Amino acid sequence: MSSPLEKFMRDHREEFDSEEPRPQVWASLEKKLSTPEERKGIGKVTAMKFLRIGVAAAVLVLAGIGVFYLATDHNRVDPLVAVNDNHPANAAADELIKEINPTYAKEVYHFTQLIELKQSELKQIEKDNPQLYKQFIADINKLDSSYYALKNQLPVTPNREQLLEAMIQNLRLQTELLNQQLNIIKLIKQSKSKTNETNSTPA
Amino acid sequence: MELTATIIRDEIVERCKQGDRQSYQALYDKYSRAMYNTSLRIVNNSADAEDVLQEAFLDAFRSLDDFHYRSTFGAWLKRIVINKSINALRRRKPNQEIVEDSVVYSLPDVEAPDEAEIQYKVDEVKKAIRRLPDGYRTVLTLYLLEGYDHEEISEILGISHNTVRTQYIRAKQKLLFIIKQGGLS
Repeated sequence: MSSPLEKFMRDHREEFDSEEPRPQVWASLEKKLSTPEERKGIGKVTAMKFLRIGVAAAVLVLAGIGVFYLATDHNRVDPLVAVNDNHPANAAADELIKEINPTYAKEVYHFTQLIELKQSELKQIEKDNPQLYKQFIADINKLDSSYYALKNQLPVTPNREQLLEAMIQNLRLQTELLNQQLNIIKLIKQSKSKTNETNSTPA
Repeated sequence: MELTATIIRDEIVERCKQGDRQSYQALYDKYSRAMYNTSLRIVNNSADAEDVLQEAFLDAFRSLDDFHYRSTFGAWLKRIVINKSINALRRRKPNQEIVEDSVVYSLPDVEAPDEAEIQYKVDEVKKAIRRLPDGYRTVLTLYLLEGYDHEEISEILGISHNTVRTQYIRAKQKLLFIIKQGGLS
């Protein structure tokens, strides 16, 4: 049993919702919905890419090590010899590559140029985002060190062609990784400039 | 088989879940007025109610993935609005509970008005509600206008059933006095 007041309220329920919010509420809500959501989206993309790169880098490093062992396993060289030959001059190694396969040498040259270029591009974020730069360089360095490990094996391995292929594959992966890193930087820059835009426009 | 799926999926909500911008506006248009009034009755001023409205919709839109039709979308959104409104009240008076059993607002020293004798008018009732203290107003409107039962109100406000019951009785008495006074003057 409801009281007279309760009955009255129920019968006139609709009339109690007579006030209207100002249209500005939707306008500002819409703005908030589009800008921070997109930013959130980019954040997600970046995070996803980080994750992917992390995984990719781990896989690549493992693959690199795998190839390295594959290439060296068949022809266990005397560790002493290996140590002796472990630090060949870079130029000498490059000459060797040319000797082994001139086409591969061209590819190596092409990729190292590309990598240098991209690394200098990457360096531009060092000032703005030292943490990110460090992380990126660390990822690249993992690949790079396995590249040099392969290169050091080159003079002593009988499977030179195979090793060279592994080296080129490594360089290709480095380029790919750098590309992805540069993409991330681009996304971050875009989202930053978008934030600035929205901040500078009056609400 | 489908006995538990009592609530039909809302087409607009589904489109919002897929990120359709126009559907966001459709959902806002559909519910904003009711939600605004609900909040306004609790926070008792339009600026706070508009803030609550905006925040509630923003939260709802961003957590649509957490909405699984355990209630209707409107009921889900309303709970967000009410929680935010109560938080807004709490922010205004950080050192004070909204509903305190010990606090009894003074009533005129005359016989309580008889509910049945009063001629109610929507505008007068609305005005009287606005003049109630925060705690009374919240309990009374949650019960009379938002349709929550005592148990739900005790959960929303974090107070006992008994407190809800006594607060509601006192709130109603106070409201009747205000209406009656208004009618006399």
